[in-house]
Amino acid sequence: MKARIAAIGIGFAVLLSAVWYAATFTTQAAPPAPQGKPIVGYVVNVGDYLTGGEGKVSKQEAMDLVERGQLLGIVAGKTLYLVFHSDGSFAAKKLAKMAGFKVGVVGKVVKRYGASAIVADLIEVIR
Amino acid sequence: MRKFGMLWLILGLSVVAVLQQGCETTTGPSAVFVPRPPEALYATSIDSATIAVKWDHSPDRTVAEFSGYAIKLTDPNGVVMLDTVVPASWTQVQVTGLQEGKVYTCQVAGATADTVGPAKTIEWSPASRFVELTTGNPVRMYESASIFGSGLDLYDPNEGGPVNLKTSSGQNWDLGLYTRDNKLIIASPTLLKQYYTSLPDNLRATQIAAEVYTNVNSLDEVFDSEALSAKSFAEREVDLSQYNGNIVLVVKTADNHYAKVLVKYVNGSFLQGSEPNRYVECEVSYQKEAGVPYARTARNHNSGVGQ
Repeated sequence: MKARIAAIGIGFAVLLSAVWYAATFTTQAAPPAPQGKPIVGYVVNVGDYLTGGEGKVSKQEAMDLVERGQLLGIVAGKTLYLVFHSDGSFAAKKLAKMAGFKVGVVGKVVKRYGASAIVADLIEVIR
Repeated sequence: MRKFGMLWLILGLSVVAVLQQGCETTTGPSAVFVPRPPEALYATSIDSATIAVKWDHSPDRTVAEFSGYAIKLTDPNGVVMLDTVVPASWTQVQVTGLQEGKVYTCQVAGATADTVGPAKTIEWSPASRFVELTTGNPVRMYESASIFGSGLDLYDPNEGGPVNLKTSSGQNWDLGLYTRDNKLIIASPTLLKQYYTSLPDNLRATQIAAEVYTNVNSLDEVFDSEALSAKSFAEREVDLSQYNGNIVLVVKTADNHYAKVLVKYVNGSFLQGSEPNRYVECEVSYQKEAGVPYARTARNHNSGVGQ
């Protein structure tokens, strides 16, 4: 059990470092997604998703997770994206309010060491 | 001689009458200056608990005895919520702690140190104010080519606020935006069916008032002197390209809720952001109580009574 928790912790650390690196040094990022083409997915509990769960959360669950400092992301297809605002801050609070709906994120997609992130210009529910 | 005496009597009585009248209107000890009410009275809803009442000065404001305006606000049961006198320089007050959907009566009268004149009366109700969708984003309608919604449900009771919706959810639109074919219009959903073939058939017949407010920076500036129901409502298209500043639309939804929608004009355009996800940003004042046009009746009259 301890080993599992440690593995998840290390996984998070690596993921966050990679994404922070990507979000910070965007000039070195992979080619951006076509402008205006949103990544469309749903809000997930990153911890649950990375440990094999579906990760889907309701708005209230998502708000509670953010309150407890847990990570939220977007899953589009089979790809997990962490979502950042253009100032580099993590967009978890915004995602929490959109949990339970299909969400579109327009922005720059960056990939590093297998981790994906979006530096978002626009995050909106699609319904 | 008798005739001459009668003439003197008539003349004498006339002089007394004239003197008496003069005394009454100028210097008599019983003369009381009664200030006239404000020229006009207006109201607006700031939020679900607050209204603002504004007035044009009384014509007696410059009279020395004029000391201020007496404000009295009562709830529908006649309970006095506010009873105060504000300085003569004031032309507006905000009253909070009210309840949305209840129509409050506000009387404003000119006052001296010991007299309150006849009041003007307006009846108004607070209404909810939304600057954000329930998702926390600003209230937006996206251009027709966007993957995001081009329509707005002004108030979704399940979510407690406005919701942005795509054409596939068009049955819940109260207003829609159309931006193709060099058009830039906000319209009643029923009128947008001709442009959006993907809209469903059961569209809401939202009505928009003919009068569009212009030169406004905020919904707080949009005051009315009578109930919104007095306006000329119809299903309409509003051509935004006719305007070069913020506008406010007055809306009556299909289920008889009244609303005001501020459409923002930013940096020379109603459309903001980048193609193909440009958007029109709005703020919404929405009366959650059906059939309350922010006022009970289209009255704005002299009550004819003091406080």
